[in-house]
Formats: sequence, C-alpha cells, structure tokens
Amino acid sequence: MALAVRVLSGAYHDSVKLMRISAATSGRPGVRGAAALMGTPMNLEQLAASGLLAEEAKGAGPNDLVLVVEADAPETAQEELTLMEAALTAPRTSGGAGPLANLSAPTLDAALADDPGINLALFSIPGPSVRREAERALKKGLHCLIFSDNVSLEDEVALKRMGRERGLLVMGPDCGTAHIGGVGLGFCNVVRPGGIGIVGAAGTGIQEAMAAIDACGGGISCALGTGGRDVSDAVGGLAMIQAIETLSEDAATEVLLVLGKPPEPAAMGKVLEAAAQCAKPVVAHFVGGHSEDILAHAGLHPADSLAEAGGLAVSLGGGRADAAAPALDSETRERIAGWSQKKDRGRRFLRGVYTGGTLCAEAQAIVGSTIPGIRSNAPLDKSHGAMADPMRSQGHAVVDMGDDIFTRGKPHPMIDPAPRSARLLQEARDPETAVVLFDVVLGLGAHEDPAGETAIAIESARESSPDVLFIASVTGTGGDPQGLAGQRARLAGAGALVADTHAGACLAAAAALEETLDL
Amino acid sequence: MSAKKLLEGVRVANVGVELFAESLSAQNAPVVQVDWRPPAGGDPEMIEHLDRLSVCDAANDDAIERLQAARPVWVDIGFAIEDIPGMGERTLLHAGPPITWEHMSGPLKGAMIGAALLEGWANDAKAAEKLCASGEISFEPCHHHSTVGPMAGVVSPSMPVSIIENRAPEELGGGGRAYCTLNEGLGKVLRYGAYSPDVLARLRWMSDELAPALRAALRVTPEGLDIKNVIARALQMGDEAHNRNVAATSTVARALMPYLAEAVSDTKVITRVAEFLAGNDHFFLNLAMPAAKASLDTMAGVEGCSLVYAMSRNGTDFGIRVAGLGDAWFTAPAKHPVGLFFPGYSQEDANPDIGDSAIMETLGVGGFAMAAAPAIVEFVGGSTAEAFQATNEMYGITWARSRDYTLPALDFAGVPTGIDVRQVIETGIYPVINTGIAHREPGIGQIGAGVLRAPEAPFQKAFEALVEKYSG
Repeated sequence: MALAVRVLSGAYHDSVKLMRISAATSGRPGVRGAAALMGTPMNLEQLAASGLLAEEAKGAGPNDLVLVVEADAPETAQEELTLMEAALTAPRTSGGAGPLANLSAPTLDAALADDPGINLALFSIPGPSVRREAERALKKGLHCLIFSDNVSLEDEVALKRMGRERGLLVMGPDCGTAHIGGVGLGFCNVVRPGGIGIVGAAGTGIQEAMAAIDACGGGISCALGTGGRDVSDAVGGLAMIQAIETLSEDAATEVLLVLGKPPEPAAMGKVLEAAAQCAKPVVAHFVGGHSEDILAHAGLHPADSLAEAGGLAVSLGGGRADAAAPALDSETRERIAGWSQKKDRGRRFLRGVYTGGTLCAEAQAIVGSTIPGIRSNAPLDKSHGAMADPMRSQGHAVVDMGDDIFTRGKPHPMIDPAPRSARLLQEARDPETAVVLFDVVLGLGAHEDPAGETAIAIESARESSPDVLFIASVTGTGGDPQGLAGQRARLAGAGALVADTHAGACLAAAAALEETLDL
Repeated sequence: MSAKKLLEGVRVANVGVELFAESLSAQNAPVVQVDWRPPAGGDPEMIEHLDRLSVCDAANDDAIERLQAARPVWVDIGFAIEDIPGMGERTLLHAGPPITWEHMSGPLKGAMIGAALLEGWANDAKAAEKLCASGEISFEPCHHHSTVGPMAGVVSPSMPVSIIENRAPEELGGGGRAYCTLNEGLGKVLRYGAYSPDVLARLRWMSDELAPALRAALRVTPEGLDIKNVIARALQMGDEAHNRNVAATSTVARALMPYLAEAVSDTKVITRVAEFLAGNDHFFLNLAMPAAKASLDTMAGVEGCSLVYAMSRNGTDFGIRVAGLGDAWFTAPAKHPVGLFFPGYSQEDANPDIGDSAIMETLGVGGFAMAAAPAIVEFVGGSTAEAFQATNEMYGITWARSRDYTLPALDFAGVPTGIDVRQVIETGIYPVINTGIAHREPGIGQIGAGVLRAPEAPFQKAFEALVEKYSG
C-alpha cells in the first residue's frame, strides 16, 4: 500500500469540481482512496480520519490544494496523482464538443484549446490563404480536408509532403467529398456502413459510386478524397497512395475502390503499384482512362463506369451487383425511338449541362465512345476538345457548371441550381439541340430540392421546345435528405427520361443521338 | 503515426463556410466553427512579419509560466512616501502612460488638485491648479513605481497604500511587490477627479483610521491575504474582478473580520471599518489591481516575449507595454467608453477612457472574464450570450488559459490570459475592457460604467517594434 501526496500552494478550485476529481480517481483500478481538497482545518481532519493525511499535507493551509492518492502500489499512486493534477485544468470533452462549441471559435488554436479532441480541419477559405493555415493545422496534429480551390501546385505538394511525414492525411485542395467514421464531409451521400473503402480523386465520382453501392445494398467503411490534381505527375498521387495505405490497414475495409480521372503516367504507376500492394481486392476506375493499365496489375479489377465500379466492389465483397449494371432496357429504347420519329430534323446535337465535374467527364467518356466530337469547358482531352466559348454551346457540347468561370463569387450549382436551370433553358431554346443530358446530385451539402428546381426549368423548356429529349441521372441514396425516389419522380413527371445510373443516362443519350444520325 | 485513428471518428474544426459545420451538426458529429478572417487583413508583408515572429513562441511559453505561477498576497499597508520605490516628496503619481499637466483631462486634473489640497500644498483649488501648472510638481505614471491606480490613479506621498507581494518561487519571478491606494467607494471620489471637502475628509479618515486598522488586522494574519485565491473564488461567485467586485469584497471582509476584531480594541473603529467595507462593493478592486500588476510584472523584460504586461489609460492616451520591449509605452489617444449612465448624465459627459484598471483585462479577467459575471451583462449588450462571446473572442488573442482563474459557466475553462500582440495583429481582434466612466469635468466624479475596445494603434506600433527587434 502506498500514499502519494502533492500540495499546490495558492491554487483555488471549486469544491464540487474537486469532489468530482476525487471520485473519478477513487474509482480507478488499484486505487484505494483519493482526495482533492483545500487544506482547511476541517478538511485536514477529514483526511486524518480516513487515514489519508500524509506528513507532507499536515502543513497545508486553507489556500493550499491537497491531492492525495492511496493505492496498492507506489507507481500507481504517483501516476494517479499526476492524472489528478492534469484533471484540474483539463477541459471536459466527454459529452460532445467543448463548452464554447456553440460559438464560433476566433482562431483554430482557440478551437483546439476548447476541444483538444479535434482531429480534422476542414478548410473552405480562399486558396492562397490555405497553406499557412493548413501548415498550422498539421503542426497541431490535425488531418486536413481542403475544400478550397485555387491552391497553388507548390502549396499542395508542400502540404501533402508535410502531411505524409507526420502521418496525417491532406485531402484536397479541391476535395469536395469525404465520408469518415460514419460522417459525411462536404458534398456526401447518406450511406449504410459497410466494407467498401473508397479513395477518390473525384468528388461527384465518389458520390456516383456511393450511390451505386447503396443501390446494390452495399455499404461504406470510409471515403477519402484527394482532390483532382493529386494524380498529376507533379503531385505524384501523394494523398491517394497514403489513403490507399490507410485503407489497406483499416480493419473495417474489406474492398478498396479507387476512383478518379486518369492519373498522369508517372502518378499512374505509383498509384497502381500502391493499390497492387494491398492484400484486399481493389477495384480501380479512371474516368476516360483505359483498363489496360489496371489489368496489368494483378489483383486489380477494372470497371467501365463509376456505377459499375461501385457495383463490382459490392460483388467482390460478397454482395449483388445487378442494380449497378448500366444497360438500356426495352422501354427506354422504345421511348427514344418514338421521340426520334417526331422530332425536328434540325435538332441533332447533344448538350450536357452538369453540376458534377466527374459526371461531366464521364459523359464525355461514355457518350464520346460512340459520338465523336464532343466539346467541353472541361474537356477530357485538353489538346482538342475545349469549347470556344463556355457560355455558348456549339455542336455536341457538355458543360461543367461547377467550373471556376461559372462559380467565381457564386455558390456551386450543387448548392444553388439556378444558374444551371438557366443554362438548361438556353440549350433547349437552341434549334440545333436534340438531347439535353444533365445530372442531379443529392446528399449532404447539396440543395434541398435540386430536382424540383430543375423540373421547373424542364417544364418551361418543353413548352417552347417540345422536341428536346431531356435525359437525367440522379446521384443519390434513399437515405439522402432530399429523398431519391421523390427526386426521380419529380424529374420524370416533368417529362425527363430518368436513368438508374449516370452511365445509364449516358448510354441513353448516345442511343438517342445515334437515332438522329441514322435518319 | 498513421491516419488509422482518424477513421474511428472525426471531430472537426470547420475553417470557412458555415454550411459544412451545419451539415456536420445535423449528423450529430462534433464540430467547431472557426471564425476565420484573412490574417492581418490579408497584407502579405504583415503575414511575413507574423511568420518571422514565431521566434517569440518559446519566450512566451516561459513568460506565461511566470504569470501562471504568480501568487499575489496582500502582506501589509504602508505609506506611499515610505514604501513606493522612487516616490518623491513633491511627486504625484497618475494612471496611464506619461502625461504633462497641459494634456491632462478634467478628472485627472481634478484628482491632482485634490491631491495637492490633501497634502496641504495649497489652500484652495485655484492655488492648487496654479501649483500643478507651475512645474514644481513631478507627475509620474504609477506604473513607473510598481504601482497602479484606478481611474485617475493619483497617489500622493501621504496616502496609505496596500502592499501586494508575489510569493511565487524566485526562479519564476517571485518576490516582486506592487502598490495601490485603498478604494474610496463610489460616487464623488478623488479617483474620478472630485476634490470637495467631503472627498478630502474621507481620504483623511482612510489615512488616519481605516489604514491603521486594516494594517493591524493584516499583521495578525498568519501570512497575509492570498489575493489570487480571492479572485479565483470571486469568479465562481459572479464577479469579473473589474466592474463587479461585490463577491471578492465580501470574501475579503469575511476573511479579515476575525483578525480585525483581534487586532483592534476600539469597537467603534471596528464598526466604522466594517461599515466602510460593507458600503463599498469595489473595495477589492484596489487589491485586485496590484495583484494583477505583481503577477504581470514577472513577464516584463523577458527577451523575445510578445505578450502585453500592462494596458493603461491616463484619460488622454491609452498605452501598452510589451514584455519583450522593456519599459517602452506604445500609445494612442484614448477612446470613449460606451456605457450606462447614472441619472442626469449621458455619453456627452463622458471623459475618454481612464485608469490603470485595464491591468485586470491584461491579467485575463474583467472584460475577458465576462462569462463569469451574468449579473453585469448589461454592459456588453444585455445577454449572457454576449458575455460568453466577449470571453470567447479573447481566446483568439491570448497565449494561454489561466490555470487558476476559471469560469464555471464554461465548464471551468481558464480565463484567456497573456495578450499576444502578434495574435491581436493577426486576428484584428482588440482587447475588450470593462471600465467605470468619469465625468469629463473635474470635481464631478463617476457618472456611469461601460465597456470599450482597446485602440488599434498601440498594438500596431508595438508589433512594428517587435518586428524591428526580433524578426531580423
């Protein structure tokens, strides 16, 4: 049996708080008794009565704080004493966040002082300011999710290197989606917990895959975004490789799903090498890329679309994948055939109007495989494919409305669909437009009723341009706050052809355009 | 270290768009919104300076240890001329940074006149004013003499002064002393520039009867009265230790009474002293201020330290002193407090901010500890939410949380302590100060109480000096 004592002169603490600390220590293993009290004569008498009045405490006065621990072993007594002293000033974090959590913290440091349990900093501040703030966060041991864009390449590389050295993830810049510990960050869908861990250099790509996983009855362990530029050779897939390594070690993750636009050659090699090192099954899909690179690595599974990749991950984890297989059913084919017979001959072009950047890329990839010459403000092939004027479509064109030129000083169209609705109308009024292809993305962070807002535009467009075929996909889950079924029904009610997956919508668009060419 | 731990669950600091924090809250995920603003207003040159001044971090850690360790104890009562270091026969001390007679505001001039009359240097106010203007009297800041004074803060040679000693270990700056006059009460008092015969009569009584009685009582206590302890307890009882001192004053009275009864045989004296304490809620302020000074002075001269160890106003100028910049004052014109006024007075009657009492905010109480004092939230807008916000904001410009001064309403979080010039410049958040309001004319006294922000220029000048000295 051992007694450990500390007397802190001139320290005042509220007696109720001291009782709480005494009680907490007394209840711990190996501790026989503990007391934290001011050295008033009465308190010292009490200590003496309970056999805790050690020699050192006898001289304590009413302004001295006395800490005493009686334990089975001297080491335990000393350890507990140290813990008690720490508890005097430790903020309470047991019940949720700190006491000031309902107020905005004036600085990150102040937030950390209030809640030392914070482990992730989410940045959505101007890009040039990110590096300084994120470096501070990393120095404090925080993982970072950088939603901001306009962060320089140099800053991105510096932050990711620093994160890697410290074992901290740096997601982004320009990372819009993540799902960690059951919590969605940024734009994210509500999904069941499960065994699929997603690593994505593509925000809406992650969401589309999540939606497919959900539709197949699968669930997510985690989704980590990296930002699109991570897979450039300049960054070298630093975050993606780190994320793959993290999920490889994660017990809850059974299958990995690696997504993005095609990495640049050197980054591609490193990323696939890291993926191939993983002992778990890995599905890899790069929008607009080729499967050969993936097939070249044993253990990696390619897919033809985001949705299919999601479905494949479910089946590799032992689930069913049927719901994610994009194919045109007979009903859709008949509808397209009926439409093409009635429509004006001059209407012959595809116009895609997107809120999701990766979905815009997937549209170019899938529709482009049968319909050549599609241009975009965010072209898959930068060398030839850029629109002359992003504000006015010509020929086959798909527009990413989330691009900087549309969002400068404005909310993203996933948050405020109004600019996209205006563009839908603009495209439908163009007498050369045959098909308007568009996405609706649901989930946390997105507009509360994007289908409703968009449906109004479609109804209006169909009054003046009844010949235009509207083809939509809705990226979402039944758990999303907007409600997947209701959002689909709203678009269908407005006259749009609503596909089950985005890839399905692209196939329908391609089929419709082929019909126009056939005539 | 790996990222595996993160996957178990996120606790997020959301820096930027609030929408993301709302989304996390809706998922019942712990999140703190950080009210981010471009550092130093986004000025790249200033940001570079800020980054270079990270050299101050270590010194600040050292200095804050000294502040945290300070243990101010009320050990005795003496007289200005005998006890205050460097006090001269024809010296009058005043609050704030140095100032000449010509530039003094009404209440400070009034207090100087009153002090000259009290000392018997002149027979009437006119003669006293003439004397003050003649250059025969030496006017010096209290702060240059280990002293602090509320409002005008005038100390004349014959005045009794409380002696506060820092009983921290010597290696942490212990042993230093600070001095302050005894508090006269509210209304027409010298510290607000009143000098009518009743004011002077009270001061004489304080000198002749109150001070000796309290001294006798103090001298029979085993080791004086631990003021740190009283401030800490008062924060648990609704004081913020600047504009509300009723709990602390009561605590001191309760602690002293047995010793007073033991030390003083004349029960009439005991009665008058007890009545005086009972009728003066702010008696404790004149103990809290030198306690704060004795604590903060331990940081003075710590090389490389960017923490403020004094904020003070003389009714004309507001000044600060910074630990790593020695004795220098960084000043700007004092602002007018915004407040609540006694009947018959309004904002137009208010004198610019005055007094050494901002030493309380420098310590981290007063306006910084508004979350402790729901009873006086009217000063900050009327709601406890605003009081919490005042304290919350100050965490953005302070180096630490006090270990001993804690806020029950915030789960016993320590008050924000150690104002960092760099953080003030980085955030653009300026210290919030609670204060009494003096009439701008001499002789009238206190007309209200309120709150204000420290002016920006002293911090900007101090920052430039830090850059000059330390960022090379």
